[in-house]
Amino acid sequence: MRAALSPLAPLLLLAGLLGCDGGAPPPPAPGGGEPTAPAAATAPGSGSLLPFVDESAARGVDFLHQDGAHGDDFLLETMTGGGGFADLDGDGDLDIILIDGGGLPPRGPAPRHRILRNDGTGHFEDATEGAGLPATHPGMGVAIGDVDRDGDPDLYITNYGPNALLINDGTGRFTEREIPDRPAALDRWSASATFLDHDGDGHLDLYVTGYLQATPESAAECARRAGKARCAPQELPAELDHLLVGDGQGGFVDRSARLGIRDTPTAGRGLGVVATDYDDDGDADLYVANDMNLNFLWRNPRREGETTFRDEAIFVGCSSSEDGRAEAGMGVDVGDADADGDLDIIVTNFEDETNSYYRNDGDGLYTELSRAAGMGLKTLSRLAFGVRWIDHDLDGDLDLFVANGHVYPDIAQTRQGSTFAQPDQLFENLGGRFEERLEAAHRAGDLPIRVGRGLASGDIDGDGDLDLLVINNGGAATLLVNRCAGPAVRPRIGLALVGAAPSNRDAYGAKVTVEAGGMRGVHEVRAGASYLSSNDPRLFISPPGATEATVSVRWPSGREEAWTLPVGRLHTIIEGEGPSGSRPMREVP
Amino acid sequence: MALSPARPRAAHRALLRAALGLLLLACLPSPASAQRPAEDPAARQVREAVARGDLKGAIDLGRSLLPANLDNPRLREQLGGAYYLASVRLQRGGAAGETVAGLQREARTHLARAAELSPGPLPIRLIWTLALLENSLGDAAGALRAAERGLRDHPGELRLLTVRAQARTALGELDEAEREWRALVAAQPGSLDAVIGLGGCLEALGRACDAADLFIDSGFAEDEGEAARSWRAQFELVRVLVACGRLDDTIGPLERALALEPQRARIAVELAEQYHRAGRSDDALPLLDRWLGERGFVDRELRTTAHYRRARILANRGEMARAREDYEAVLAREPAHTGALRGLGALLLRSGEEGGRARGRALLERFRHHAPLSDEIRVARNNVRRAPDRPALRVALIELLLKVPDLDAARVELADFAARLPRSPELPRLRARIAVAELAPGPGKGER
Repeated sequence: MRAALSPLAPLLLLAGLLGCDGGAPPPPAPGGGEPTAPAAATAPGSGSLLPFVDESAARGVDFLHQDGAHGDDFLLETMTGGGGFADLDGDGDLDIILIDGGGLPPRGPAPRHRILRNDGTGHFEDATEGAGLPATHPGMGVAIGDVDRDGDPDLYITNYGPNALLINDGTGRFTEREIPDRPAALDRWSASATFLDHDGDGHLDLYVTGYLQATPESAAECARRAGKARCAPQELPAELDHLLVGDGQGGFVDRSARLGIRDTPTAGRGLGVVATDYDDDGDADLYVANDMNLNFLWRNPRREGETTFRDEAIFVGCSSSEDGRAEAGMGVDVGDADADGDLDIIVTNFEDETNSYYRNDGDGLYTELSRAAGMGLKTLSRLAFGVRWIDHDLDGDLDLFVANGHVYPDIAQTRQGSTFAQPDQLFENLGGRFEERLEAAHRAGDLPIRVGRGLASGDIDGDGDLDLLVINNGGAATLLVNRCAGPAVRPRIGLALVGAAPSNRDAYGAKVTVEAGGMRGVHEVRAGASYLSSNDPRLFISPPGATEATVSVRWPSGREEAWTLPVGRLHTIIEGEGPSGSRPMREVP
Repeated sequence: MALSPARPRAAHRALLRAALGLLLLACLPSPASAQRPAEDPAARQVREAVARGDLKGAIDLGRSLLPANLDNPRLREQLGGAYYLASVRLQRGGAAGETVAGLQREARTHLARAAELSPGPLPIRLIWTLALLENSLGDAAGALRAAERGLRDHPGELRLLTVRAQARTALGELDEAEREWRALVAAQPGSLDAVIGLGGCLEALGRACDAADLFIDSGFAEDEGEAARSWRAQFELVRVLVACGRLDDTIGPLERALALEPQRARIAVELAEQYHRAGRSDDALPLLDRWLGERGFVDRELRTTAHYRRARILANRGEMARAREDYEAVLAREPAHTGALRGLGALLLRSGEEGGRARGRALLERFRHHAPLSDEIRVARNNVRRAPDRPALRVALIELLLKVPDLDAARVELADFAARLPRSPELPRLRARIAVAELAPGPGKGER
C-alpha cells in the first residue's frame, strides 16, 4: 500500500521550487551556534545558482581518460570509464580511484588507472605510484568492498580481459590475488560488478556482469556481413553474468550455475548492477541493467528456503519499457524516490529511449513512470550511463543525477541534433515530478559537456552533502562539488555503519530507517550502483528542520537496533555496540 | 487562427476534388495523345467509364476487353489508369495497405506494357503515372528508369523531375537528390511537394533538424497559408520533428492535420500517442474512444495499435476491465505483441482473480521469449532494408521470424526475397522451413 503524502509535502515542494539558493530560513546551527550564510555558487555565465561546481582542477583531479581508439570503431573504445570513492588509505576521508580504458595490445596504450589521495580537506594528490594497480588490459569499472574482513576496502577491477582482485594492505597499496578456477568469461569482457552478501554468512560475494563476446575482428566481420559501419550489440554474442561466493579471506568460487544465475533464455549483455532487497525480506536481491535485453531482477531465494535465484523482472514489471521493449540499459540505481518507504529503480537507456523509472508500488510490483514523473521527453534526447539518486539540495527527498554521452563518436555527422559529448542532467524532485536543473548552466558554459560514463557520489569535504565524480570517456574526469547549501542552511545527519559477524563488515545490505522532522526515509547501505562505479557507502540524510533523528538499523545479520542521534554530525555505528563516535559536519567556505 | 469545424471539411472536400481531378487528368489522354490517331473504341469505352467515376465498371470492362486486345497500348493505358485511380480512392478511404498495393501492381503491369507497346514518344502522363507507381511500390530503381525515359521525351518536365528526385532519395543517391530537390524548390516557389521532398531528402541525410527548420521557415507551423491547409504538410512536419527529437512540438501540427483530415485514422492515433507522451491522457483517451467506438478502422493494423494505446492509458488510470478488453483485442490479432503480452500479463497478475495469476505468468513467460526476438527482428529488418541484395541478411531475418513464430511475416519476407533474388540457393531451404513450421503447433497458435 502506498504511504500517504507527508504533511510536510507542500513545504518540501516549496523548498524544492526555491532550488538550492538557501531560500528556506536556516535552522539553528548544530550545537546552537549562529547559522552561516548559504554557500551556493553563482554561475559566472548564467548568473543562476549552480547546485554543483566543477572544481576538478582546483582540487587536483587531473585524470584524463584514454579511450584507446585507433580507428577500429570497436564498441569497447566508447564504453569505458569507471571509478569510485572509498577511504583507500584508512585515514578517515574519501579517496578516488579512476579506471582507465587504454587500448588493446599491442597498438593501444596501457591503461593508466589512478588513485588520488584526499588530504583531508577535499583536495587530492596522486598516490598511484607504488599502489599496485594493474596496467595490462583495458579497464572498465570497479567494485569496492572489504573482502577479507580486515577493515580496509579491497578492489575488483573489471576489464576487457582478465579482471583483477586487489587486496588492500590498509595503506592504499594493493596486491593482486588470483581467483583460481574462475570462469573463462571473467577473462573476457566484464562491465559493472558489485559486492554483496547474498547468503548472509558475513563474507562478501561478488556479482559480475558480462557484456559481449566480441573482439575487434569479430565486430568488424559482423559489420561487413551486414554491410554497414558497425553492428549493434544485439548482433554480437552476449556474455554471461557470474555470481562468485566469497570465503571472507579474499577467496572466491564461482557458483553461478548452482545458484541459478544462468537460468535465463539468453545472456543479458549486462552493463549495470545493484544489490538491493527489493522485496524487503531481509536478503540481498540483484537488479541488472542489460543492453538490448530484458533487465534482470534476481530474487534471492534464501528467505524462502530455496536454493536458486529467480529472475522476477518480467513478473514484477521492471524488465522493459512500458511498451514491452527491451531497451539499452546502461546504469542503474535504487532509492526511495517517492518517499513511501520502499525502493524505486532508475535505469539509464539509449538515445530515443526514456530512462526507466520503475516505481515500487509497495506490493512487490513496479510501474514504469518516467513519462508521468516528467523524465520522459527530457531523457529521450540523451544517451545515459551513470546515474545516482541523491538529495543534492538537502531538502529531504531524492533527486537524480545522470551522466550522458553517446557511444558513436561520429553521431553528429550521421544524426543531426545528436552529439557525442552530451550535457549531464540533474532532475530535481518536486513532490514526485522531476524537473531538469542544469540546462541553463550548460548553455552558459558553466559546466563542462563531455562523454559521460561512470558516476559516483561521496562526501569528499566532510560537509555532509554528496559530491559527484563523473568519469568521461576519452576526456577529463569531472569533480562536481556540491555547493547547494552551506553547513548550517539545512540540517543533515551522516551515518557510517560497521557490521559485526555474522554481518559483513561493510554492512552492505543494512536497511536504515531515519525518522526526523516529520519525515520517514528508508535507505540501504551499498557501494555498487550506477555504471562501472562504486560510491561512498555512508548515508547522508537531510531531515528538514530537525535537530535530532531516530535511526533504526536492520543489519544484514537480521539484528535490529535503534537510537536517537543529534543532527549535524557524522555518526559511526558499530553493530551490537551502537554509536561509537561522531564528528560535526565541516563548514565549507 | 483556429479552424472552425466547417472549414476543414470544406477545405478537405476542395482538396479531394482537386486531387482526384488531377489524378483523373493524369490518366486520361493528354492533348498530345488526342492528336494521335483516332481513339481505339475499346480504350474509349474504358475512358468513358472512368470519366463517369465508375472505376469498377471501367476495370471490369477493360478486363473483359483485354483478351482480344492484348497488344493494344491505348486499352492498357486506360485500364492501368482505372486501376490506379481505384487504388487512390481506396487509399483515401483508409483501405489496408495490401489491398491498395494489389491495385497498384495491376496498374503498373498495364501501364508498363502500354509503354512498351507505344511507338515513339510516350504521353507524359502515362510515363509519369508509371514512375509514380514504381515509387509507391518500392521499386525506386524502376521509378528512376521511368522518369529518365520520360525526361528524354519531355526534358525539364517538372513532374518527372519530381519523381526522379523522389526515386533518387529512395535509392540513397542523396547528394544528387538534394541538388535536384533544391532546383525544384527554386523552380516552383511555394510548392509544398518540392519543399516536402527536400525535407525528406535532408532527413535521409541525417539532417532532420534542418528539415524541420525548412518546413517551419516555409510556413508549415503557421495557422494560415497553403501548408496549414495541407494535412500532408502537417504530417511531414510531425515526422521530421520526431526525427529531430522535438516531440514537444508535434501536437500542434497533428491537431491541424486532424482538423483537415478528420477521417484519417493514422493522424488521430498518432495525436493520441503524443498526448499520452505529454502526460495528457485526458485528451488522448476520448480521441481513441471516438475512433474505436464510432468510426472504426478499415486498417486492422491501425486498429490494433489504437487498442493497444488505449489499453496502456486505461491501465495507468486503473480502469482494468476496459484495459483488459483492449489488450485481449490486440492479442487476438497479434498473439506475439510484446507490449500487450506484458501489459495484460501484469494486469492479470495484479488482478488477484482466480486463474488470472496463472495466465498472467504464462503471458509474461511468452513476453520473455518474444521481447528480445522482436528487437533482433527490428535490427534484422533494418539490415535487409539497407542491403536488400545480401542473402545472408534475408536468411537471418526469416530465421528470426520463424523463431517467434510469425509465419505470415516469414512468408512475406520470403516472397520479397524470391522476387529480389530469385536464383538464391537459400530459397528452397527456407520454403521447406516455413512448410515445416506451418505443420507444427507453435506458441503463437494455441493459448493466448
